[in-house]
Amino acid sequence: MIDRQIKDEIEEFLFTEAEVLDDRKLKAWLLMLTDDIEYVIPTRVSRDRDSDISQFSEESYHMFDDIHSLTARVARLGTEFAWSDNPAPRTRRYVTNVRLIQASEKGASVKSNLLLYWSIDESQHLISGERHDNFRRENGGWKLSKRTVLLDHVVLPTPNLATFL
Amino acid sequence: MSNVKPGNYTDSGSERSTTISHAENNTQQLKGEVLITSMQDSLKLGLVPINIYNDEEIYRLELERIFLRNWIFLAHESEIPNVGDYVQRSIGQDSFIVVRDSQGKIRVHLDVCRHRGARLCVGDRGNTEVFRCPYHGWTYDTDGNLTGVPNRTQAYQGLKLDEWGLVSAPRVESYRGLVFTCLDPEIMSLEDYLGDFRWYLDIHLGLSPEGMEVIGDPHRWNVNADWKSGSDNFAGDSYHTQSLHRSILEIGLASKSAAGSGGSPNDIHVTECSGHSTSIRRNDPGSVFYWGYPEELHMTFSKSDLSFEQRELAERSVVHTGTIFPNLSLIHIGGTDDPAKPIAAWFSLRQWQPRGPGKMEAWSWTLVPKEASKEYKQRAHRVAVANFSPSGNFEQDDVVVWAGVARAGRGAYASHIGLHLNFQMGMEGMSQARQMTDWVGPGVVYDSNLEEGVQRTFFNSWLKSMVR
Repeated sequence: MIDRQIKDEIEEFLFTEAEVLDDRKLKAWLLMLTDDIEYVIPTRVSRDRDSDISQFSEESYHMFDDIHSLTARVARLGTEFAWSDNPAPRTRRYVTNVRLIQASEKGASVKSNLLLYWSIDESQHLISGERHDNFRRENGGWKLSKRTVLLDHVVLPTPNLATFL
Repeated sequence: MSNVKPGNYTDSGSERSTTISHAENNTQQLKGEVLITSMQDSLKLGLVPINIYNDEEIYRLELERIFLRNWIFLAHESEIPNVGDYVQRSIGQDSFIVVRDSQGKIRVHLDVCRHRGARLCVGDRGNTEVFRCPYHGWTYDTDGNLTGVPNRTQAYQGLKLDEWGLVSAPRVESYRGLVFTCLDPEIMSLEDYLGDFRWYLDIHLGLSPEGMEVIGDPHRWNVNADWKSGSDNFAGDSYHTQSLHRSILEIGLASKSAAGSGGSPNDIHVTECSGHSTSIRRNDPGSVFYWGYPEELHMTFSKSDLSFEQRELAERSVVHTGTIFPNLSLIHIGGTDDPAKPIAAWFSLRQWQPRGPGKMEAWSWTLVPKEASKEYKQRAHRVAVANFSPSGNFEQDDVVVWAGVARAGRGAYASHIGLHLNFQMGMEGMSQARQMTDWVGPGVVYDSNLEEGVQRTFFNSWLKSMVR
């Protein structure tokens, strides 16, 4: 029963987060993260399916950020010289298949699927991946404390990652 | 000859721009060979036709004349340290297996089964003793020898195995850990091809006694821009940072000496260095900075075999960018991912893989001195990713403007009027850059980075390959 409620709360968080990011309220998004957030997108390679080695690198990343570097990215995108973000990209995040892995009153570990439609100028792209998120309850509300995005791409389809997954 | 009248639609009023070849037919589009021929005149004037950034025929000719005939970078030796390790790499549209054979030698095989042409390589990287074709089961060893043909006695009795091994690249050579191949057996040695540029390359690759190593896997991403945009920018576009990367300066992620406006007396441009070029930003004389590597590594660097002059340059260095013709670029720089944190330095190799007219796949490798601590390597990679990668605060913006160039390059009107781009900075009467007569290293070296000879060097090499 408690798990059901936590799952509902986390889902609501994820849907709200998608809206905040799609509406480009990046400073508001930073407030949804804990101060010790670890935000990681490992690189991926294609491998023999029977290989013992993970397709996801433990050494190299598309992003490996903490709250300070995320804040710097948001500050940069907020300047009038962030050409990668202008004209305004059109994004839509589809967050689905939310699975509660572990939960308590204080924290939760959740997997979900992400499909990001990303369009700027005339170009249009889809980025697909699985999120592994940890949440922590702070002052009565949930905050994201860790996110690992496992991409379904070995070659990113987008000319840049001027957005957050 | 086609219409090449760049002066007509700029207000530069430069006399030289109006004197180049005259039109026989104003409506003829600049295409393929005509574009190349016209460039023999226009490049001398610092002018480059925009259509070469997005043209079917130019692209096809580039694959034949540039990518089949020059030394092309494939991998770093540290990516395949053990016998049987392989990575899949490409040159243009051709896929190659780069593998360390049973003797530890690096070999490059076309990833094509000789029987029906199916691919052999499973995945981007791995380790294997044998490449087995899934189609009919032919097998090859890592040396490329055909070792197995199913039902051979009944079906292929007369087949001479030694005639049907994998197609191996005729030339594979390494330089300080960088593995290159050339598909033209007649080419000069890799050492001669790098030529005088080795003096500058050695500063990066020979900085630490143990050499540099790659961290993890390279970034790969599709960019709707031409491969030449990456090459010409990294050849030394020191002029763009103050405008394109202004956001970085505004929020304090980079210093003005690293990314501010050019023109400091500490900045130099090395042009026409065996066909390659590099841009160098330095601190004041006497500074020991080494791009921002931590001091404990400075001691290590002092044990490397660099010459006195090379070491002196390395000590003062803040940023080096450069391009080894045709499509391997480098950047050695320090940076941070948070204005409050100290900078960390790293070295990056980047390759601009042609994937069609006006399309490329960008690759980026982070390298660090082998002797660096595990913690430093991780920090350096985080900082590298935050600056130069698909998510990089610098690089995010570069690709956007390069896409604009490719977009313009396909325009029929741009072709019709023979639209040319200006690479004249530093030519006579244009800038205050002066050729240095007392510079300690090779190349034609200028005392300012406000000149575009570095990029003209790239296009001179391009043209040399395209006309021969």
